[in-house]
This record gives sequence, structure tokens and C-alpha cells, in this order.
Amino acid sequence: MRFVWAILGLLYALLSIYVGYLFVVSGTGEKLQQKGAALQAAPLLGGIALIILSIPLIWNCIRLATSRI
Amino acid sequence: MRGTLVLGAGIVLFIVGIALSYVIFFAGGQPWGQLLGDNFLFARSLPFTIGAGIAIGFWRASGWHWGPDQRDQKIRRFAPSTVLLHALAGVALLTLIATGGWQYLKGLTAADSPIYMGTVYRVHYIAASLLIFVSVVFVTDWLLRGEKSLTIGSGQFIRTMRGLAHELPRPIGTLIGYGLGLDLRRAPPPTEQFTYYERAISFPLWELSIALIVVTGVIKAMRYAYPIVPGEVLYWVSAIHVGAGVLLGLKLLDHLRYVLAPSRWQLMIAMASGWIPAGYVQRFHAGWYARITSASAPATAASPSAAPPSKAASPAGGAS
Repeated sequence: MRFVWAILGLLYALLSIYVGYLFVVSGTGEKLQQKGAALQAAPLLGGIALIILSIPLIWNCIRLATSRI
Repeated sequence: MRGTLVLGAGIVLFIVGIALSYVIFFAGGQPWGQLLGDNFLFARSLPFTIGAGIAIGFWRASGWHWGPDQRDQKIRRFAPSTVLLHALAGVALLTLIATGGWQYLKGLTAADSPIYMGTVYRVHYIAASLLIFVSVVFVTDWLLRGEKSLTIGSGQFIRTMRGLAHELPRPIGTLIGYGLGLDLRRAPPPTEQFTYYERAISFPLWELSIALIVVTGVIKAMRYAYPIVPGEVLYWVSAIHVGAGVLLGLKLLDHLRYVLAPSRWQLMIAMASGWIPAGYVQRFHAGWYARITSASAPATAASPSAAPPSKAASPAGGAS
């Protein structure tokens, strides 16, 4: 069962990284540049946070799948 | 008896309320499309969803008294209904993040959705109803029983911070210890039913993000049925709703990171089965283990076959 959870966790982390990437790209894109810094900051910071917080989850999923419990 | 009566009344009112909403929905009296029709259905059903949650929470709090249940070297950490409610909340939360993220990304990237957006909103409303229901059940139950095992507890702030500082990675723990003037050379306080991280960081962040998303979501959903909130306020309510959605996504990442660590895998199993090995509790939740064993030891000595439950050591989450 822990392998299933490791894969599910990995999938969620990878999806979060992709969504974070989309947030960052949109936050620095032309459309939001016209709307001011406040509206740009939210997806930009949220995207960066999503990417950063995904990394420890990926690490723990790999450890969960490979460690002997 | 009183709890069962309230439960029955709550369920009957919920069924009647939802049925009436559907009757109005299908009567075709209004020229609304699926999007607006679903919004009205959701808005009208909310008071009954909340009412049913309060009734079930009241029934749960008044009728159940769990004790330190032990069997085959295992200790009950969660009541079966807690396992079920947590699973429902998890499914609702994932669905909300997926459908909410879909709506936000569609607007952000100006992309065409391959799925009809009315369907995305419909699923979003159903999941929101489920999350609101589960949250209301938990909050009502905890408030009525005075369940505080997932909180810092009054007068326990410094002790909790000291425990937290020992649990966190050393640089962060040292920073907290230095900032608060804690003596980290002292042995860490024994962990209770929940770790200091869960009580001081994880659960309060869940409370904050879920409260924000529910309150702002309800205001947004009610804007057509009860158009009393000014447009400018609604703009900021929408912005906070999106921000709280991102916060929930981040919190879920952190929650999964925490419970999917090999050293805490037993906590993950406990959330699915309700049981946790006694050896694990003894090693990592020494404070809780001491309370359980001290509560059950005299009773076991008096009657080895049947240890009576004790409210002093209710299992986590309150039997939660």
C-alpha cells in the first residue's frame, strides 16, 4: 500500500510543480503585467511556493518507496 | 435520546430542504442556465447542509464515549467515524483543489476548457457541500466535547514551542529556541496524541485555510441569491478565495510530506484503520502512552477481562 501512496504523493507533487510553473509563467506574462504588481505577485509567489514545497514531498515519496519499514 | 431526536430532526429537515430546492430547480420557473441554476441550488441547500452537520455533530458528541481501546498490541487512535469523515474531507478537498484550480488556470492562461465549465462548477459545488458538512460535524463535535488534543492548549504555549523546536530540523528549531528564549538543553516534553508540529503548525494552518475558503466561498455562492455584498467587496472576497485555494494546495503538499515520511508511516496507517501499534506509541508518543497505561492499569488489575473506558485518555482527534 505504501507504494501506491508514494506514487500518488509523487503525482500530486509533480502536478503541483506544473501548476506552479503555469502560475509563474502567467504571473510574469503580458496579461498580468498590465494589471499591476498586486495581481502579478499572487500567482508568482504562489507558483514559487508550490514548486518549493513539492520538493520535500518528492524526496519523502522516494524514501517511502525505497526504505524498509 | 435527545441526541437521536436532534439527529432525526436534522436529517428530516435536510431531506425536505434539498427536496424543495430540487422541486424549484426542476419547475422551470426561471430561465436560468446550468451555471446559475446550480449556483441557486447550492446557495439554497447550504443552510440545510450546515444544519444537518450540526445535528450529526451534536449526536456524535452526546452519544459516544471512547476510552483507551487496546487490542493485540495496538491502540485505537481514531474512531471509525473519524476515519470516514477524514476520508470524505480528503476527497472533497482534492476535488475542490482540482476544480477550483481548473477555473483559476482557465482565467489565468486564457485557455479553452475541454470540459464544459458548468460541469466543473457543478462538481465544485458538490465537493464544497461535502467539505462544509464534514467541517461543521467536526467543529460541533469538538466544541461540545471540549476536545483539544489538536490544539496547543491553555498554558501550554512554552512547553509546546519547546517540543516543536526539538521536532523541527535543528537550524529551524534553534532559531525558534533563540527567538523565544527556550532552554533546548532540557529534554523535550513527551509527545501526546498528536505531535507538537501537528498541534502548533499543521492543524492551525488547516483551520485557517479551510475557514477562509469556506467563508469566502459561501459569500461568493450567495451573491446571486442574496445580492447584499457590494461588488468591490466581492472582488476582494474572490481574491481571498483564490489565495486560500492556493494555501490549501500548499497545505496538502506539506501534509502529505509529513505523513508520507517512512518514520511516520504508522500514523498514515492509523488514519485508515484507526489503530496504531502500541510500540510506536510508546516510542514516539510517550506522553499519550503514559496516560493510556496509567488510566487502564488499575482497571485492568481490578478486572483483567474488561478495562472500562476512561474519558481522561480519549483517543486522538477525539476519538475524534
